[in-house]
Amino acid sequence: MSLPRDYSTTLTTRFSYYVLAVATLLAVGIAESDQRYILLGVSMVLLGVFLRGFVEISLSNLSKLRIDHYVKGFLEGDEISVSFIFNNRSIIPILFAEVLVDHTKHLKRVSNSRFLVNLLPKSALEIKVVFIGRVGTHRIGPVKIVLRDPLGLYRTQEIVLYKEFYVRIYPKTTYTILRRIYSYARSIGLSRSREAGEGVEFRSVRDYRPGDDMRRIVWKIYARTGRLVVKEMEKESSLKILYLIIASEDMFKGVYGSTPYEQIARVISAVSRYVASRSDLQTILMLIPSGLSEVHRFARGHESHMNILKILSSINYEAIFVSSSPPHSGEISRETIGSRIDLLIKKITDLISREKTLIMIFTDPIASSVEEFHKLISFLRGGGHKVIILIPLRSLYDIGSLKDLPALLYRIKILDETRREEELIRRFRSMGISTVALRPEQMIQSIVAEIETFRY
Amino acid sequence: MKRRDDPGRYRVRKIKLVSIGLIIALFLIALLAVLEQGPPNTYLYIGASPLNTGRLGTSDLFLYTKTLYPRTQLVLDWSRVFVDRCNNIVIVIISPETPYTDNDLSNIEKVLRKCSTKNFLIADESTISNAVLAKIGSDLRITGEILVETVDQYTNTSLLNNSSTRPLVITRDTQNRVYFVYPTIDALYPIAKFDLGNRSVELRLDIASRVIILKSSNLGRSEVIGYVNEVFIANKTDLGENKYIASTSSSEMNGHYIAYIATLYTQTITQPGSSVATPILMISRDNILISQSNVSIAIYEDLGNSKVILFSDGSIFLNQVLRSNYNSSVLEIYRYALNKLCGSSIDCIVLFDASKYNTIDPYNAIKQPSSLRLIPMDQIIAFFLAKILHPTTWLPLVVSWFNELVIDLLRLSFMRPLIIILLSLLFSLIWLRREAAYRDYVMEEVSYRDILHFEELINQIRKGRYILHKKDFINLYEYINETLRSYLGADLRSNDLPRILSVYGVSREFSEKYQRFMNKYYERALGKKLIHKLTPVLWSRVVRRGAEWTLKILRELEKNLRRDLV
Repeated sequence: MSLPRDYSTTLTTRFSYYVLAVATLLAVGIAESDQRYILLGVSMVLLGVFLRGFVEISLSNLSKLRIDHYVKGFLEGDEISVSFIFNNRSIIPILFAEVLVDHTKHLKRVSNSRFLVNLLPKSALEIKVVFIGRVGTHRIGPVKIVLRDPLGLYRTQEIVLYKEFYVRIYPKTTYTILRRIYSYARSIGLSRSREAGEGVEFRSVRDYRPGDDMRRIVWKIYARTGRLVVKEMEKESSLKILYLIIASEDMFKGVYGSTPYEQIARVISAVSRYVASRSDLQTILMLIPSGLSEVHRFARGHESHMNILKILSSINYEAIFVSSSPPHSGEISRETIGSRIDLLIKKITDLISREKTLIMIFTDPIASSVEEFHKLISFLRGGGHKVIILIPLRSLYDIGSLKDLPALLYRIKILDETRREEELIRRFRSMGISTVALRPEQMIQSIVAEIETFRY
Repeated sequence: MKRRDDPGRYRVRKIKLVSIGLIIALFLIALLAVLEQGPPNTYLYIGASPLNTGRLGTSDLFLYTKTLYPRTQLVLDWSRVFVDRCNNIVIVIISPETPYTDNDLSNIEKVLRKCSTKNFLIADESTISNAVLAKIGSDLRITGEILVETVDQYTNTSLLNNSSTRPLVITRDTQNRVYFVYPTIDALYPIAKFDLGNRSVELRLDIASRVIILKSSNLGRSEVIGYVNEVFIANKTDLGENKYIASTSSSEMNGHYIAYIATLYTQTITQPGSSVATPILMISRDNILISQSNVSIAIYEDLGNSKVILFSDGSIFLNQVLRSNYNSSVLEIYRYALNKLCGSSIDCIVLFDASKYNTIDPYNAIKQPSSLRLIPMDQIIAFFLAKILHPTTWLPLVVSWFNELVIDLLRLSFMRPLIIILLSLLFSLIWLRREAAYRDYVMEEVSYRDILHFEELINQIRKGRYILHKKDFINLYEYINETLRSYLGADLRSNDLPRILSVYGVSREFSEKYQRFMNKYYERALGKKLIHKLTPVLWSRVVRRGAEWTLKILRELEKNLRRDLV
């Protein structure tokens, strides 16, 4: 690492007091003609010079410092541990160094990020910063250092030792949610297509017809009866799901780990796993304040699930809140996102074919106007696709930050807001758009029911 | 104090290579070094030195020589002369004042050894130069006597001081002869003739001696360049500055005598108003020391590889003559002599002797008004300035004064701490002026903070800064109503509610009280009756109580519902 040349050492206010003390000693020594004071004063001057040299030498030695990092953990809710290894390869120690690991303010840290390090010559040191994972791509770093002398008379500027890097955290597909999905699907008897067709599930046997695949002939039956029969398989459900997230920054607001987006991501992660296990086609597209996400073609199985997780974890909170920063951010977001509806339509057109697709649109009330949504829905329905809008009631996502009486009072205070959101949902419905209000506790059932209904 | 921030942004920093403190330290060291050298040795030349720019100096002659021959040098010390590429060299000596030592002569000899031809141009009315002449093997010598004008010239009464129609004094000699003495207006020195080859020049001499040739057998290698016709020759010690004409008649100036202030003779002269009797020398036809015709005052001698031109009067080359109307004659004579010795070669080295002249300290010069007249004022001013400005003159005084001041101040009891404080502040200010000090701070850790939809409201609720209104009660009622309905199938209006709630652990009594409370205030909030509108209600308290009771019920419900589900 090479440092820019203009990193300098500055004096601190302690130095001013130190100088005053030295000057007083010298003045007393001169006035009283007492050599002891003068000697002490001169010694302090020399000490001050020495300490300055100490800091400058340490500063010059920083370029020989080697730093590596590694990350443990990648799922939301888990501890994400980021470790930095400092390797001092020189013979000069770096002492009394203040090291700070900067990071995005959207990630909750549960350990210190500021350390006082003493790096001995030819030695290595590890520091660890621990976060609670949150879905998204998060900036860790830069790592900064400030050098001081033991008395704190001198201080260097903040020097960047290690550049920032990004950590990707995936939504957790908890077994709890998966079990609920599976049990829900079974409970309503929605699991098999019951149609004859190409598939892997056995349905029945029938007489051989010319053109049937020879590999399907059941030779045991032929040997026993002399009749050529073939296995008939159950038709695979060729379900196609597009998860479409159109979100303003409101989707990303709320209590840590319980924002509408995080809950949606968690559920989509579980649902997509379920869908992947059934070999259905699925993909995801996101339009958020920081722009349009990467586009992946429809895929099946594990690949589709991984693609979706990748997209879900690609959001960068810093980019989202910067791109729609000042005051009436919702309005700006609406303008930004609403104006991109045409772009979105184009992308969707490229993505989906004429085959009927279940399009689940996760959005919030201020992401776009009703008219713009209507335009989008009309286009999608026109293609013969089924569209469902799922809107999280954002007013309910803040309640996690309060408990007991304050939580109840909050609920009372925002009841009107909740009703307005529900009214918006009713308006969508009145326009013939299937709309589901997502409360934090009811998401999964709503989504799974819609999927399975669509299948049939 | 300022706080530094913006790490990573490049700054342009000015770097001082040499600090002011270092400059001051170096200055003080230089000052001490100068002090160690001691006071400046300032000298003034009042004689015929080429360093004297006054009337009696030969600085003009030196400069003139340099225009003729660029390789002209001043010699201040014969042991430090450096001569390079010497074919022809001329040493010029004009009226030296101090004798030449053996060391000087051997150094001169060393210098001359490097040259092919060695020549001398000497103009001296004293016998000092004879040592040099002897050293180089010349037979020429200056006698040291003084040549004075003959008597006949002083019949011209125009030489009398115009203001003196009456004799200055009447005196008598030993034979009781009476003389009437009149002061004169000019020096009474003879006019010399110079033979410059194809031309003759006449020039009145100043205090001039005569040149003699020691061995008559060497006459052949000598040539007389300058001579005077008829002169009186007197010993120099007999003569002084003041000159008079003495007459034996009071009624007419017969000018038979010239009188000089002298030391040895019995005749005296007393200036009007003065009681001092000054001896005078009376010279007359009958009472001369020597009278001679064709006395040589300039001779050229050829010694083979050396040539000498000797003038017995150095005064003719002084600045006062070169700055007078006679300068052209003098310069012609000088130029003739120098060219004769240098052979008019531009490469000729001319060493102008400046080592044998007396100096005078400027302080002593001031004490002697007669000397002061001879020194240019600008030189005096320059020398005094050098004296005054030199640190040895003023620095010890200043330091001593300051030292005594500090000691006196320190004796005062109240001054000591004040001085200490002032000194400390001064040191601190000087030290800290170089760089500014900044408040130290630790780097701030990034803290997570929830970004909420209704952050302001939540903050208000957390801090307790909220006001509860009637509307809030209505909301509370509708919320709990909806919740009870969806979970229990009964709302607040239902008569079965207390019973159902009791199943979930809520006491019946409380349930009934709660139901009554909520319904009562709900109706009041809706203002269905007129009395409800008129009666004031502290809704804040009502809402709070309602919320607390509602919370209690919800907790029981939550507990018991969970029990049912698990």
